[in-house]
Formats: sequence, structure tokens, C-alpha cells
Amino acid sequence: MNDRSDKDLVVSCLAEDKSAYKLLVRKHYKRVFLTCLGILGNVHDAEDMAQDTMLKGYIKIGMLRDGSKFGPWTARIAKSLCINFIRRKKYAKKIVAERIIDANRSVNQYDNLQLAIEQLPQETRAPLVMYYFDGQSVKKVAERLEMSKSTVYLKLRTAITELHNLLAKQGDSK
Amino acid sequence: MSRPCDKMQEKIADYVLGILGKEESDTLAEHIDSCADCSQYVQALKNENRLLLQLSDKLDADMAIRQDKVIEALNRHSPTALTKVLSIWRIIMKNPITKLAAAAVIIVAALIVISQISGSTTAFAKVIENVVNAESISFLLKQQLGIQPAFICKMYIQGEKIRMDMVGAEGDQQGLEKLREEMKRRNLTAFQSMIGDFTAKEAMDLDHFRKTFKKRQLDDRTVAEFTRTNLVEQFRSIKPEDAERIGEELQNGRKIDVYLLRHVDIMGIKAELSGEEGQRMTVWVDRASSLPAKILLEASFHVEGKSKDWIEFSEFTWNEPFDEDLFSLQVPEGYNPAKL
Ligand SMILES: [Zn+2]
Repeated sequence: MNDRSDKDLVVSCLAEDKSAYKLLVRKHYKRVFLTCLGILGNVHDAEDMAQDTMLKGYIKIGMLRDGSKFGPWTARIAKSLCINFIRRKKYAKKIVAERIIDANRSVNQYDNLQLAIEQLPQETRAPLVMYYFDGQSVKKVAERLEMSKSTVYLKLRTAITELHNLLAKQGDSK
Repeated sequence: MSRPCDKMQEKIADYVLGILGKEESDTLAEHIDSCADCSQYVQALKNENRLLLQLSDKLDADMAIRQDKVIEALNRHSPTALTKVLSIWRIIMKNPITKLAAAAVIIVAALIVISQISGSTTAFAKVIENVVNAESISFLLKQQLGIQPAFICKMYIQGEKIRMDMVGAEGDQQGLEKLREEMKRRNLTAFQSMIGDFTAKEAMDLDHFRKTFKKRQLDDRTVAEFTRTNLVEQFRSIKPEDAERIGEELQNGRKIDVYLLRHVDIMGIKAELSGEEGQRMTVWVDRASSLPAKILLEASFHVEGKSKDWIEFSEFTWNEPFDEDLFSLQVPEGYNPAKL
């Protein structure tokens, strides 16, 4: 990996050094992707929005005043893009409904799990996604989502019991 | 499907998450031993917990591929001219001497825009050429970035030499009034000056309050970044359809055409991403001379708080030669080296 600080890399980006931005992508992509996944619940959509976030970050890098804030800054871009995405597509209702029909055909246990994650309410899904897919640190989740640690615990508890209910329902419908 | 005992459900969830205290864990363990429903529930949650961690590994395995895709997209992407102007502007503000050259960048951009929207490219190419090979230009520049007060500078560009005089500031921030008073008291027209010579690769900053100077070498990159020949290429990508003639004005008896560039497709990918934010450039053009009379660049960006930045160029003079002394890198009498 590279040891250059975000601040340093952002300065290089301002001098139109694309390779510096690529290093920022490597460093921050996962977090951005998980932020999108937390909001959208669907891996493919999260990939699209994470990509848009990174591209938009590249284009707007000149607007970032403090390079060391690249992380939270891209998180905000990701959130705003995802929220617009949902709004545009009336996403939640229609597409999830289509996938449920689809899921009846799928046999993979991970597919079922992903579908269940997608059906979780966003406010419990985001902590679940951050916690399980990024190193199981409650502290980190709390920072990223700007919640207290105790709130994160509460949401995680709700998330896993809800997830179980959704998975059980899937099992019943087959 | 079996349900756990009501009182136990949350405890079981906490247990699986590993956040249940030792004592409570022991009590729970005892209960599970004697309750089939709860025991089953623990197994189910544990199983799901394991699946989630496996899914995490699965997602991780593809993370590099996803990043590669982003990087591919980055490679395909080349920013449009206006985006470039604004990001260039940010670098500029970090390095005083480049502030000077930036002005030239934006003027060239404006000229190219005008040439493209006016359609008379051949005739206008000549004007661009004249300005690119600038004999001399002067103008007033006001710029406001974020919450900073708007600074007003007078710029002089002549060939490879450039001078910026900081002549004032607008805004109601404390200190600005003092600044204006102090300038008046000392009978100064500028409180700071920066002089640059791109051929000699040298620059000098002057502080007229403290009577100090600072000399600097201009590094090759700074010089190269603002070599004017490249600038023309940089602004070729502005599309004529992004521009619109929005009206005309009469100023001091002269006909002025007003052009607007808006919703510049900043992504080259998805127009809707720019949404209500974005940047626009308004150019007032003197009809008789086809030269800009005023240029206003505005950018609003709502991700980092609602902020609006603007840069305004006005009071242009074209090809009125300046006294070479204006660009002299000789230290003025009575000025001492600035302490760091
Ligand atoms: Zn029980």
C-alpha cells in the first residue's frame, strides 16, 4: 500500500495527477461502496453509485478545501447520490418487488441473505453492512454513521433479529 | 417456525453479537439448556452471523475488481474545460504567483467560448491568437471563495510578465474596514503586489504595509502549467450547445452581448449528476471589438455545505502597453526581506 496521506494525495490531484486520485480510489473505495450498500442494500446498485461517487470526487476535487477530509467528503457525496438515486427510481418499492419474485428461483444461500439485507429498513441496514462487511468494529461504525456506540448496538440487535425474520419468511414461502 | 421466549430474544441477539456480559451469558446458557425454542433461535442467529461473515469475504474478494472498474472509468474520463478552470483556480490560490497566470487562463477560456458560440471561428481565431500571444491586458479581478471576503485585485499581463496588485476587499468581515482606512492613511493604492516573470522564472511579493519583499523562483511545473499555448487546447472541449446568448445591454454607448454557459456536463457521463449544483460562466462581450468586457464565473456546490464561489473579471484594457517598470523584479527602495 502507499503511505502518502490523503491531504498529500489531494494536493497532487489538484495538479491534475490522475495517478494520485487512483491511489485515493484504492484507499477509500471499500468504505464508499459499503456506504452505498448500506443505503441501497443492493450490491449492483451500490457498485454503480460507488463508481459515480469516485468519479464525482475526481471532478469536484478542487472544491475540497481540506484534503485530510477526503473520507467524510466522499461519504457525503455517496449519500447524496444514493438518495437521489432512490428518489429517481422510486427504487425501494418496485425493484425489490421484482427481485422477490426472482429470489424464488434462486437457490444460493448468499442470494437469500442479500435479498433479506435489501429488505431491511435503511436505518438498521447501514449499521449492519458497516459492521459485518468492514471489520466488525462498533467504534468504526459509530464514527462513520455519526451515532453513539450504544445506538449502534441497538441497531445491530434489531438488524440481526429482523434479518432472521426475513430469512425465515423466505423459507416459509418456498 | 419457532419463536424464542419474549424476554430472551434481545439477550440472544446480544449474545451472538458478543456484547452480552458474563453473568447474563451464564443465565442465558442455563435457559437455553432447558428451552428448545431459544436453543434453536441461538443456532439460527449464529448460523446467520457466520453467513454474514462469509458474505463479507465474498464481497471483499471482488473489491479489487470493482476498483479496477472505477479506475477504467477514470481513464476514460477527461474533465471539461470549465471544471478544469475551477480546479486550476484552487491550485492557484495556494500559490500566489500562479494567481496571476490564472487570470490569463480564464480569459483565454472566455475567448474560446465566445468564438465557438459566435460561430465566426475564423475571424475570432485571430483574436484568440492575439490574446494568447498577449501583448498586454489589464483588468480588475474580484473573487470570492466560500466565506472569505471578496478580494479585489488589479492585474497586468504583458507578454511573459505579470503583476497583481491587491487593491481592496469587499465584505463585512472585521478588519476590512481597518484595511481600507490604513490604505487611505498611507496613501496606498495596493496593499500587496506580486510580480512574476515567466521567462526569468522569477517572482517577487511585496507587502506595502510592512515594506517587505520576498523573492521566489518559479518552478518549471508552474511555468509549464500556464504556458499559454497549452491553454488553447485545454478549452477546446467546451461545447457550443452549452452556451446561449441571453441578451444584450448598452454600456457607455457600446453594445454588449451577454452569453451564458450553464449546466456544463461535468461528468461526461451522466448529466443528472450535476443536478442543481454546477457551474456557469457569464460573458459580456463588446460587440464592436468582440472582446470580453466582463466575465463572471460562478460555482455552487452543495455537498460541502451550500456555498457559492465566484470570480469576476471586469474593466478590461486590451493592447495598451504598460511601462516595463511595472514588472520590474528590482526591490523597491526602503523594502526589507520578509521574515518567515
Ligand atoms: Zn426460551
